[in-house]
Amino acid sequence: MRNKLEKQLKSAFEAPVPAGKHQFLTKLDYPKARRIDFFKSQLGYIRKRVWVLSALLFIITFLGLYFYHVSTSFIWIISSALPFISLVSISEIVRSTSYNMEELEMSCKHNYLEVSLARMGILGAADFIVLISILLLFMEKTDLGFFRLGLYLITPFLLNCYGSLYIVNRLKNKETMYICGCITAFVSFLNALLSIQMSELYTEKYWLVWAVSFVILAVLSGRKAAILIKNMEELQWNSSLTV
Amino acid sequence: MELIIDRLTKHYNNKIVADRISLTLREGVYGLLGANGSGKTTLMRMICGILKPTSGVVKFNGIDVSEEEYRDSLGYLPQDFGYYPEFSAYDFLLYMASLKGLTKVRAKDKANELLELVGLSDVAKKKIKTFSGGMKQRLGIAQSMLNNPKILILDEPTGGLDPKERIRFRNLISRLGKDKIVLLSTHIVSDVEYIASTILLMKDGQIIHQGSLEDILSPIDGKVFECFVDSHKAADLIAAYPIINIREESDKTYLRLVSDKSPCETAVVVPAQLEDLYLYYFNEGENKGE
Repeated sequence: MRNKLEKQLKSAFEAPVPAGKHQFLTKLDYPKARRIDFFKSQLGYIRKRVWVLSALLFIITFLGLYFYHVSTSFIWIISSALPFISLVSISEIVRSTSYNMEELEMSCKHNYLEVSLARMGILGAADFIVLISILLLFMEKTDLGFFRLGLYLITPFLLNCYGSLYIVNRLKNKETMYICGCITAFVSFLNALLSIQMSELYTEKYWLVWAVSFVILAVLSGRKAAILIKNMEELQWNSSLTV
Repeated sequence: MELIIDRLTKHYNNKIVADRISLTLREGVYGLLGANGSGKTTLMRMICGILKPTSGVVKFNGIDVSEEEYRDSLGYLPQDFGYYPEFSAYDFLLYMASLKGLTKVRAKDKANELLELVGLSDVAKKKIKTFSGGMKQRLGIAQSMLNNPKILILDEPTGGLDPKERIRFRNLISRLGKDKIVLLSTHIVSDVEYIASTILLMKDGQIIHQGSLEDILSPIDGKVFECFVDSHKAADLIAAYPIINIREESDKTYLRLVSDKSPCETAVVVPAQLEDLYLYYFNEGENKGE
């Protein structure tokens, strides 16, 4: 009965056009996304190649260790491949600058600094998981020990981080990542060359050299990362900026 | 709603690019006019919190420019902006919406609404790299409005748009000025003339004039002359007065110039326009002989 009445009323009277609907909607404070939602959204904007390369390296290591026995050559192959993981991570962190998006991002609620820190957090965690997973896989097959093996695998990675961050802090153009790519290739090649030429490189004899190199490169990379973060707080003046 | 800019200064390499700029902006459209290198973009970047001023403050309703809450009220279109190559127009707006703190549902609604508004809904799924300059500019305008900003800063918003699109955007910006603070810079004097309720004239890092069109034109009101003269007389006048316009005709030269008194017998006073004032100030030193 009531439904029938409603239908009859609707057909009998035309509903008035809403007055001030647009003004009401534009003034309405819509609920905002939470910070965690922003962080999750950034996860979706990391390019697939980062995940593909990390997964590929892990799978190759896993298969290599499963089918072959661990030798020093296997260590240098993996440690020479790891700098490429840092390259794709750095290219992701400085993506805004590479594609001239930083100015737009700086003006947003979650600004360029927050976007970059979110990316650094996500990629840092991903790289850490890959490194630890590879280390644990190796641990099963070798008696070198966790820390020593860690030094051999991570030191070239850190050298590449330092070299790439040094360039990224100095150059702000599309060519920056090509130069970083060259640095990565050089670090990878140098690591392979030294490992082949120096048969005692992974022995007790050079243990201290590896440890000192690791600490120095970790400190230097940390400092370069801090400079990068500081530079993200405002637009860096360069020749492309007009007044 | 009040945006206060107090003694805003920016030095760079011993060069003063913004010099103690003080302004109070309320709802309305403000047109920033100035020659290249006058400091317009630097001023806009400081208002957006992208460049840190050497000294001075920018506050919106008491909220400092460095705070997240300030950026939440801000929409900005830079003079030149890039995009990630894999993005379509729709992806780009969703990405910007996530940075502006919109929820996913709201971001989708708003992106569709704005794509419709700027006439890009047909190409929403196309990669931005296939877009023309005008389409890219329209997308830039759309992203600046995603968070329904209270302050809208537009650096050369109509650059790259064809005349029809320009008029459309002029009308849109004019409407936005009813409940927002809109600050736009442009080289297209007619854009400012049509939509800005207040005009800010910038030169050498300073605001040299500000006010409504009538106020701002008062210094040259009754001083703009047009005349047709022979080539010898034209050369004399060009050397002596700030020239707004020259047109060579078959036997005479048409001149539009600014002068305190009639520059020649045939000269007639004409109503001053913003373009006259702009050229008068920005040609100063080049051919001002008064």
